[in-house]
Formats: sequence, structure tokens, C-alpha cells
Amino acid sequence: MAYVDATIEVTYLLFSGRPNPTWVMSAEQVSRFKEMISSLPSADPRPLRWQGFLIQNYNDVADFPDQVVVHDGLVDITCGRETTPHVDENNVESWLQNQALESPMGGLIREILQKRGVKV
Amino acid sequence: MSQEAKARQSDERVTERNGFVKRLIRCLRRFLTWLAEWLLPLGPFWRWLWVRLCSPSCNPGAWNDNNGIQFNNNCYNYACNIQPGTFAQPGTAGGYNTPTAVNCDEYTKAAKSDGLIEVDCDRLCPFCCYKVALVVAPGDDFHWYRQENNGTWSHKPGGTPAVNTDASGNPITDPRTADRDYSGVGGPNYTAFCGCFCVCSCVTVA
Repeated sequence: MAYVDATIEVTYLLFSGRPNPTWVMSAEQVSRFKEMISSLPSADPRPLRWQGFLIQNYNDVADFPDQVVVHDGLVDITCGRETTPHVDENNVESWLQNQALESPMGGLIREILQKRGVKV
Repeated sequence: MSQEAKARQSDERVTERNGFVKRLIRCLRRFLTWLAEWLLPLGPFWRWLWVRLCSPSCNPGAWNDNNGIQFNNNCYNYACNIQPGTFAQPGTAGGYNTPTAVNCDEYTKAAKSDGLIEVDCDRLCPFCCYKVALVVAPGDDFHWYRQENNGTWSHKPGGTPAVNTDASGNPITDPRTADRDYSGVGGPNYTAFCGCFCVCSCVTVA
């Protein structure tokens, strides 16, 4: 089971050219994430402007969407070909940001965000 | 003469012939460019026709799928009009080490090693090559714009959709004067304009 859960990869959409930081969610993080996105109210779609988090289900993990994009206060959940935007009521974005700062690339992320004047 | 020697000689002849054809095409392109820039009147119509013939058409639908293509191809892939499905880094295909410092000098050298040709932004590219522009947010990130066949410019900031507008939402007529400050939405401020380059068929990215 741990192997299956290990295929949920998070990408911090931070750069235009350079490779974005990525990390793999632990089994506990996957369960918590599923809980956080399970009952969010729907919202009007908004395009991704710059920063965001891309969560990809590479190995068809059961009961997990194919793709989730968290950005600008929205949680866009994709199952198959259908994407539905939801309001980020549970602060999924800041939860993922904390994960990013604690990831092995946390030092680089902190440095870049501080350079851009983003509070961390 | 042994069979092996004959085969080697034949291979050499083929290589020589291919090299000659490549040199001939390069010369022809240079000649056409020279003709376009100096002999024929460089009026707006001529410039328009040149860009119309050589630059890619703006086709955001081919990039903005809100899925694998959009999220796995970066600004450099978009500028070179190639979809390898990874964030291609200037210099990787050309054998230049991936730049460690984010500045114009490093990324210019890296891009040139991939086959991009540095050009004055106000001059035309060789025939059937099109123009792209490199900008840098020093110490943070690099970014590319590409000229479309209608003369305006477009770009694809990382995993976000390809657009033909700048940070203020205005159409991009010249990347040198476009608003490149994305700090308002948590992005970089591309303060350094590094220069323009031509993308020809020989460009490779990885």
C-alpha cells in the first residue's frame, strides 16, 4: 500500500523556465489531502496565473483524482476529462506550501519566495 | 581494394555530399536574408511578409490542454515550438552544462549551444527561421517569448497556458518594452532583457 501511495507527486509551479520543485506525498499526507478536498463547495473557474501546486496521480491510485491543481484560492479537481473548480475552504494551498518548505528543496523555495517578496 | 575500404570510401562520399548540401542551404538562406535586408526595400510590407512566412502561427490550443502538454512543457519548449514533455533546459541538448547562475551571459551561451542564433532584435532572421527573445530575473528564473506570424509575440510562463499578453494584460508588440513583472501574482520580475535569437530547423532541446 505504501508503494501505491508513493505515486502521488506534487509539483510546485514556481518557475517558467527552470525545473519546478517536486516531492512525493507520504501515505499520511495522501489521506489528509483526500480528506481536505473531499467536500469543498464548487466555484467559478479562474485561469492559473502563476504560482500553484500540481498534484498528479501517476499510478491510478484508487479513490484519488487524476489531477488536482491548487491555485489562487481554488482547487481544480480533474477526473477523466472533466475538471471542476472548488473553493479552497480548507486552506489546502497553505498546507501544501508548508509541505514545500519542509521538502528537500525547501531551502531553494524559501530563497526564491523571499526574493519575490512573498511572506513565508 | 578490399570491400571494407570501398564501403568506407562510399560512406565518406555520402558524408561529404551531405555536408555540401547543408553548406549550400546555409549559404542560400544567408543570401536570401541579405537580399531581403539590403537589396529589396525594407518596408513594413516586406517585413510583414517575411515574418508571415517564417514564424509559427499562434495556436494556444495545441499547448493549453490543462493536462500533460501544458504542465510538462515550459517557455523554452514553447519558444522552440517543440513538445518534449519535460522542462527543457538551454544547453542540455547542445552539450553545454546547465547554467548554475541565472543570468543573461550563462543562458545566452547555453541557448547558442543548442543552435539558436543571436540576432539584433531589429533585424530579420535568416529565411524560414523565426525570432525568440530571452529575459532573465537575475538569480531567480529565465523566460522566453516567441514571435508569431502576425508579428506580435506570445509566451508560455511555465505550466500556465500560452498567452499573447504581458503581465499587464496588453498584447506584446515588442518583448523589450512589454511588462515582464509578475511579482504581483507571486512570480518573478524579469528585469534583464538578454537579447533576440533565431530558431531554425537545426535547433534541438532536451
